[in-house]
Amino acid sequence: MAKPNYVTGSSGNSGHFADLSGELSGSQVLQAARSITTSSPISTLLISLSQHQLSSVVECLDSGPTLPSKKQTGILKDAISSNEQAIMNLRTLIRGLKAETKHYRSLLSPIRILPNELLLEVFRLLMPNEDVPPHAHSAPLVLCHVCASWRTLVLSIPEFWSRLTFPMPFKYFEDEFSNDEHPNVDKEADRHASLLRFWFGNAGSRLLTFVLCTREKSEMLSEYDTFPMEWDLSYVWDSIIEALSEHLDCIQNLVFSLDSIWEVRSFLILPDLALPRLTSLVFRNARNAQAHTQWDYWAESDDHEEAWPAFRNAPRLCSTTLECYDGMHLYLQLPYTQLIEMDWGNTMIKVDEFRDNLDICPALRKGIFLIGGLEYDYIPLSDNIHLQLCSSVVDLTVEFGNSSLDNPPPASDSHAFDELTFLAIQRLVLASVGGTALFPWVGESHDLSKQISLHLLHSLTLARIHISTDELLAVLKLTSNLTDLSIGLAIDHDRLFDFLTDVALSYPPRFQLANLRRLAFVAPGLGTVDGFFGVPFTPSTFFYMVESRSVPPEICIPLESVHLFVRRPWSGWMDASLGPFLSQLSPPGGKSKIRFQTTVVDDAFEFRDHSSTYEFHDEE
Amino acid sequence: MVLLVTSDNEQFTTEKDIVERSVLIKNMLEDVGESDQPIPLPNVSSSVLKKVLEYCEHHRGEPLPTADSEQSQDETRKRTTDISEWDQKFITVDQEMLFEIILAANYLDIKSLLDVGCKTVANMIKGKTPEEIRKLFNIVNDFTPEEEAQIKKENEWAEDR
Repeated sequence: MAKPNYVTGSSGNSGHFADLSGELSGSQVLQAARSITTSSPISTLLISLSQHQLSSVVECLDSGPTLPSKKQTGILKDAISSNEQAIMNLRTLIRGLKAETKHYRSLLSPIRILPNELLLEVFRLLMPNEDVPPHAHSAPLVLCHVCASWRTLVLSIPEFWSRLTFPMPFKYFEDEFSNDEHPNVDKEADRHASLLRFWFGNAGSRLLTFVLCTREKSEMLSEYDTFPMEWDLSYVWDSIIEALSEHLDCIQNLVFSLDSIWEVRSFLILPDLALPRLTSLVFRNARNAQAHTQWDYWAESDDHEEAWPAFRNAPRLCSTTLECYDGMHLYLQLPYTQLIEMDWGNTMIKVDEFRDNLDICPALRKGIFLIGGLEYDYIPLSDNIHLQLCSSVVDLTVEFGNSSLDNPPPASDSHAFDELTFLAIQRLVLASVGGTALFPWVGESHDLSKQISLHLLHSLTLARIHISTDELLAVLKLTSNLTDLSIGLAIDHDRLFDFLTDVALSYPPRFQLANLRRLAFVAPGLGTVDGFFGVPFTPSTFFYMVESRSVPPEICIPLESVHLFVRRPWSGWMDASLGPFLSQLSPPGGKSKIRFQTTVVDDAFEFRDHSSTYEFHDEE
Repeated sequence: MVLLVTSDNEQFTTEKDIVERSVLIKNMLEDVGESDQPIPLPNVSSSVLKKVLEYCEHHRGEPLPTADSEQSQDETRKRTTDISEWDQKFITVDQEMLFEIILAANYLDIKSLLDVGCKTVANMIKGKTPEEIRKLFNIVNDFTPEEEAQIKKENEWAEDR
């Protein structure tokens, strides 16, 4: 009777033993298993058994074709189990060794030789230069997600966290919310607030520049007004403002770079925020807000009578920049008496406000104003504007805007400077940026030559101002410290160039404007017709002026640059012959270096693409 | 001519205006005056010094950065990671040499070379994920589970910004 083969059914690999077991004793089977070179689970198991276990197995095999006893099965199960355990242990060991190897390899990693101070130099280079929102894959966040030591290092440097650009949560308008539900509003509110708290916490006491901006996604704007007014993100905003309010004492520079000021209204109406370190406040790009129906809605509503007192008592606020919806500034309450810088060049104000600002800002050193004749109710900031000595203003830019001095020109605009006296002014820019009437240097009731400290001026820019050649030359005779002169005037340029090569009545003899370093001028008629016709000055006069001022003849400092703005390209200026021609002006052995540049502008003074720069200097 | 001795005792003879791009050596020469004594550089190996001198020779005669120019660059926050073509080729070396050059530039006080080195490392990191950075520099992710959880949160906070 054939012996039942209990091994046959166990697995395909054990068939070999099944054949042998019919002919051989248990010990022979074992011998055969050991002699097999190819590994199989059975052979591996047999080889791994202890002597005692082996004896039991052999006994079991020798006992004939009977099923193994419970004891024998138990022994085999024990053996399997102990081997499985050994395998697990080995696997754990391998994992540990791999980790250890990785650790040692990382210890040998070349970057580890850099001390923290140099690593920080590298990290510093990775900090975004521009106002970009934080992202997990850009510094500083990415750096503190690499390893524990980098994280500790990056989190310990408040400087890395001293600037935060925070985009408005605009996207919900198009992506996440349906028309009447805010499904993720809690989560989103928490997300924004958490990031703010994390960032501000890392900045510590480091003064922070906080930029609140509009996400750059132009398509959002089209979606914007499809939502009803009452449907807003006030909950998200409230949580952001709450987080922001906890750390206001960190903020030094606050920038709102927004398409609509509406979204921060809830912040602006907060009274007297505690902003002990705020020095600079900027509203940028808000001019676009006027395109929004929401803004219009708000402007037409009763609410627009409200005031924005948030910054009223910021004790160190001294600089404001407004590029905003015309008239918006009326609601913004500012500590005017402490302002040192006002860049309001993109916010049109009335001439009375210009004078009012000069009156109530006794500390003002730098002012940029755009005067226009918009229609809005203006309530003077001070009850009684009294004419003043502007003794602290050092840098003043006044532009007369499109609606100013136009037809019919508001009579008051030409009186902007009446009775004002500037005792310390060093840089003056006066320009009419639109309209046909030009602001006069000498008016009905003003003469700027007598009202401005001309002898202190370092920089003078006059563009589209009504001034005759005689008046200009008379002014320039009094500006002995001038280093920068930029003019866009309808004057006799030949006379100007002659003047610049004149020797003043002085001892030792000096050129007129002997300190002049940079000269820029608009040549209104240059190139209107090919050839020389229409050229407002003769090239020979111009070249003589450049030549005479290119090398120090000990009676002047050589010019650094001459920048010529031309209305239309003219081959005489633009072609390649100009450079070599000018290079001849530099005498051998001279050490002067002058930069000559021409830029083509159109009638609106928009820059075109033609621009040539020639530099000529002596090659030593 | 100036004689430099490296950490592995190799001697380099080089011209003064080349080696004076190192503020450290320039100051040493000014302190010592005219002397034939070799200048020991115990922190710089010969292979690294060779590269450093190659850099100094290429940039000889260029104005040295002043403290003012450095400060103004910092103030305007215009620190870029642009590297000139020659410098890029020069610094195309293996990581070990790159970091050795940075260390040497720092020790020898050659600001422009230090800048090139740091910018190169910054450019290697720029745009990479944390995992890619780890792989690049053989860095182990050794965060604790708590830190990992915090990092996960931070990623969520900064998502889609």
